[in-house]
Amino acid sequence: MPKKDNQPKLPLRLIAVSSIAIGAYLINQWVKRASYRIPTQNFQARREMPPPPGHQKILTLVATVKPGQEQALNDVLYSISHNRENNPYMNFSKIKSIHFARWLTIYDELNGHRFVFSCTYNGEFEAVIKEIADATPGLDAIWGKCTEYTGRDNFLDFARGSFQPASYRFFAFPTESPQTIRDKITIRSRLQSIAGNYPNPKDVESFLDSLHRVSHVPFWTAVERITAWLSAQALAGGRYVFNAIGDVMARFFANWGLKPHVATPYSLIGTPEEQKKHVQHLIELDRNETPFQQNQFTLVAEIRPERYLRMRFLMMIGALLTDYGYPPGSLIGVFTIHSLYWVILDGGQRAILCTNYDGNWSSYLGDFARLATLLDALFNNVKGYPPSGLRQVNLFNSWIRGAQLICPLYYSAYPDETVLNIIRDREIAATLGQEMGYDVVERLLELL
Amino acid sequence: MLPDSQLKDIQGFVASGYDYTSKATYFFLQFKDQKKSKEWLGKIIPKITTTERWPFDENGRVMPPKTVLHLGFTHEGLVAFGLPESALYSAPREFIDGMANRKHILGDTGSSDPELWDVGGPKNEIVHALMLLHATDDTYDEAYKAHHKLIKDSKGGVVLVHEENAFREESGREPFGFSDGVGQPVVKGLSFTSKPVVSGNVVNTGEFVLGYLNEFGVYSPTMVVPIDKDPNNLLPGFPDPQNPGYRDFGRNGMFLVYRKLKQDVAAFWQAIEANTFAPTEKGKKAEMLWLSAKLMGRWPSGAPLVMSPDHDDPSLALADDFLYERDDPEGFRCPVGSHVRRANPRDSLQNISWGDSIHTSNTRRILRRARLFGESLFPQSSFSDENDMRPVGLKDDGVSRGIHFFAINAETDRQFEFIQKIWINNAGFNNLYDNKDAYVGNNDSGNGVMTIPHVPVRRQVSGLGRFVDVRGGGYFFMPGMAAMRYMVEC
Repeated sequence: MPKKDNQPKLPLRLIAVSSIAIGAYLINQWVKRASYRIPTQNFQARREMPPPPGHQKILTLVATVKPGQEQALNDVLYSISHNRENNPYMNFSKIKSIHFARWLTIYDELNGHRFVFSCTYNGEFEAVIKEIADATPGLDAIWGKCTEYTGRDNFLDFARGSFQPASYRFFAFPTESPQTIRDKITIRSRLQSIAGNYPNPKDVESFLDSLHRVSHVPFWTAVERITAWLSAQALAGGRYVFNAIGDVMARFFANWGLKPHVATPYSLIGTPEEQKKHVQHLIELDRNETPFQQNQFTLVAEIRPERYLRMRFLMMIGALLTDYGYPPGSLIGVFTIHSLYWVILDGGQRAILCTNYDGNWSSYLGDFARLATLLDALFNNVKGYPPSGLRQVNLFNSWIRGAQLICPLYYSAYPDETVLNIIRDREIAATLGQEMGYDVVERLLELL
Repeated sequence: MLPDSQLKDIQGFVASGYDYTSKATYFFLQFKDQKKSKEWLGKIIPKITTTERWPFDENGRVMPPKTVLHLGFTHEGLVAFGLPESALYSAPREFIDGMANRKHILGDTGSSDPELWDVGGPKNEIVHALMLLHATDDTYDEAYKAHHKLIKDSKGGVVLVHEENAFREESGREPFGFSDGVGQPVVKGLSFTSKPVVSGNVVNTGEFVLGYLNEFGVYSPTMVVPIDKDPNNLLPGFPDPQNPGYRDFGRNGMFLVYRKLKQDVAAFWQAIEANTFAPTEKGKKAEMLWLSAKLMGRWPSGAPLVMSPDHDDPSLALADDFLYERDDPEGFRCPVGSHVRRANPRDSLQNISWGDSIHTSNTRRILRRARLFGESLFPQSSFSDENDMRPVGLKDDGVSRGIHFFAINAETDRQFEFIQKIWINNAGFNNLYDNKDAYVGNNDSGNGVMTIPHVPVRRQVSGLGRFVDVRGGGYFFMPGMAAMRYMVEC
């Protein structure tokens, strides 16, 4: 019977793969918990994926907007956005430990208008809350429009109460803080300006020769290099295995419940009114995008109740892969995403997706072919997702842009730096540190 | 190849640049009266050149058409023709907006602001259609007069609001002195090419013509008309049973980008000269050619730097069989920020993996067509003439010169606009920090830089300004023949 030959393979493989993945995940959790400090007095935070020590974290605060205040709140946010340097509400120069932050309102029929603040940061929960309060002279003008807020003095308690944990997170460079990234930018740009003093490369050759004489490579450095190479190979091998597992899982879940290839996407066309509304929404989104550098993407998705567990399971697998599967800067081989995370709200009814990425969303959409299975696997569990998924790129685009939220205020600690730039800057800084020794770097900086 | 019935429905510009035609005129039209405009269109349709195969003479040689006519409409033009609302609203957003309104995306700022344009800007007459006439020397005058007469015969229904005359250099070079139009994609099912096809350079029909599968394996968005608005069954239906009730107005159509680009040839070569170190004039000329090739990514003859890094090799003028990441990952031959490596990065996009890079690059391809305006500042032969020291010490003569640039694609925002915004004008393109395209980038400040990877330390060309100014432009839709017949009757 030919059927029998084909059938048992997939479930067996699936069971094997998922048990390995689950086992690895549990060990991962166990190791991490030992060294993790949970924000105090917050039950919800216990369910958060605890990050390894020293890694970036996510802070998301969700609070109910007082009835009729949503427009006033948005107006304040827009006025900050339009005048970042001199506004009475926010002093961005006081923000030190936050990488990216967004302020926006969301709406659903059950909960009404809610205010969402979400950022990625380094350090402790209490410290970042204090930093936000110190950098926001207009705390009352912003948060005072929320029911739960009772004044500046109680901001920490308010933050604990409105904190929502992230269920999945990806950071391009989890161990970097805004300051370490800025330091590397400084090193690089100083080196650039040194090189700029010698427009003719011939002039700099003798200088570089002298540097070469300074640099000694002791024996142990050579040994170190070999071990570093070996461990890099081992890491790459491990990553390959993890990637393969992730790929299998994503493919399985992407295909489970999605319709096969639909021949044409012409069902895109709505009524002229729907089209007009969609175009207006796109114009509004474009207005909040910077043309070249970094942008944010925020979406609130309603989770299909029967798919909630499946979504959590995928996020768990995803988190495992993110921690071990990808080299710095890469999310499944895509090097344009600084951070990406999901925050589940209302006991699993809906989820917020936040990303910080380089470039422009609609333009970069095509680059997500590689992320297709993962996005399909996740969005597949969300109400309204096109049944053909990312395979119909135009339908997907129309859906995702329609669902994207307008974000009045966005902050980035290093707005001109792409993921690729950071990778390069890290390499420059690392090379300076390793190959030439501290004294040479110091001498080099003195020469500026 | 596509079946003959389809070839006869597609305007020919997608399959050929008609490079043998030396003269061209671009008529910018406005429709004042719907009925008279439709009569005019009815007369024009039979004259329009399609992708239909060229006939052979008795000796077996192909006989290309001597006069070539194409027609494109702006969104406002389609509105003026009274197309059903569904077709107008299902059009892509950038096409509805028009080029002048996309200036921030395209980088048309400073001296390229649409306010300063000759055609297509807010201060110019509204353009509803662009008629492109290309003709050989012997047929041009007659064809030119005939089309003027047709416009006149419409008795004010169709008005000529602007006209541009253009020509093609025998050498195929553009005013800076470089060979133009090399490295075009091969369109599956349409390109008549006898050259060996480079793998990875064949692009699906749907990237340029609507109604065919594109590089994503799907159809690009099209414009639709409800069945009841097409009582004579002029438009093709959809193969998709999920989408009943509509017909496809967009089928066999394509989007045409037009830009009038004025080139400041003297300023360009002066900026290059300011970056040289050679003490002698002869050395300076060689260094200038080398620097300009580094900025372009190809030598003046068209030979790619990846294949010939040290000297111009005219035998490689049309060579296209190379990759960047594979052959020159660091950009020591062809700098990462050079014009050709930006406009089609092939396998070198750093933000995704190698194989994905070729695929992504192919989802951004455009077909380029170009004709010149304004007399050349110096003869192109001076590059190869040892006694001619030009372009050293070049001075401007005040003549306006440049190219009429055309790009054909199926989704302008995903293709032409993306190239312009994310690759050409983006200083952070592909791992770079502060390099815009040295030739066509919007270096409004005049302080643009370009990094040339070099051992032991990179060389930087500085003081680059905006050498190419936009002087006009527009987004046009070139409908299929059936769609135009529908426009006459709708």
